[in-house]
Amino acid sequence: MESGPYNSYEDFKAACLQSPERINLHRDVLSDAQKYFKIKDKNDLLSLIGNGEFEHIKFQKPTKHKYIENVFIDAYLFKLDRKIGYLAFFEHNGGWLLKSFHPGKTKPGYFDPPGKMLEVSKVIQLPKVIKTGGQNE
Amino acid sequence: MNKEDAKIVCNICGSDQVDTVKNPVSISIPLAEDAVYEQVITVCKTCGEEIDITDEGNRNKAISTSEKKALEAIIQFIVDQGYSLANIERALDLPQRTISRWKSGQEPSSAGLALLRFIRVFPWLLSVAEKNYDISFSRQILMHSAISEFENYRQGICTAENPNKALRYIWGTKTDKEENVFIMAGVTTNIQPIETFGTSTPEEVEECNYATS
Repeated sequence: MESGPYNSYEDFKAACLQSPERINLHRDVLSDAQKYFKIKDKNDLLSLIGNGEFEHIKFQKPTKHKYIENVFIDAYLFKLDRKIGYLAFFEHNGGWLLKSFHPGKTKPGYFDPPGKMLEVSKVIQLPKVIKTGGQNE
Repeated sequence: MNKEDAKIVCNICGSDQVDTVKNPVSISIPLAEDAVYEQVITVCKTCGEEIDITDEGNRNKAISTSEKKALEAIIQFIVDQGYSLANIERALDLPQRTISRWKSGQEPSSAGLALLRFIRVFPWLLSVAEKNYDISFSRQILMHSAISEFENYRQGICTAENPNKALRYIWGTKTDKEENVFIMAGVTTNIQPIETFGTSTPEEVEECNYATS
């Protein structure tokens, strides 16, 4: 299986703003969005996605749809209001389904740009590793 | 399952093998009872997708009703603290009759609702506003409020039924091996810590012991 993504995130964003009637929400999406991210309603949720209000967003992996052939669900991790979230969606027959929008998990620094860890190590001046001689040396 | 509407098709795969299900859903509203509405879902037997097709109007109406009840309760709480509606408006520099309009049904702005929620949680913010947001006064009233809270807490813990739960307010400073000084403050019982800020043991700090009632 290819690494994906299989659905265009840019097209999804555009649809959120330009044709919200084509965006469908899975049964738990709105209550999760309200509970964990204080997003009031579908309009606010689509506006947030469509306007690219995430601090960061990164593609994770595709999952093959269980029942619809040749359809893959793309999962992303995002950062919003200093919280990590997970969203998943796919497009089929001209309609979109936002399947998940809930808290996600990452390692610390996951969204940091490449090279950031190097800068941190310079600032905190990590101690040098000193090798001690063992019996076999 | 509700099979009243058999003509509904799945928005994803277009199949007409769809069941419509209605479930009560609760939404948490700050300082109010949960808003409850009926969520309508289509469950497609072909593609397995469960799609929320709830009328947004019904959902928003439930939220709005719950927020309105919360607003009335918050305003009543502030009035019970001894403020009139006109007092509140003057303290907060709001146009006259703003609060009374909110109370009589006109929906406040989101900012207005947030302001009233803050006052419900920290009623002394109104006194700060009355004193033109004087920094020195605001510090004093914050301290006073903290001490009052502590005293209420102490009275709740140290009852005749629980005489062994003497409450101690601990505070002091501690210096570690590297001569870093830590300021510590917290509340403990003689049985177990309840709430502490910083790490401490009772022996290392000055203690103010309260007698049990």
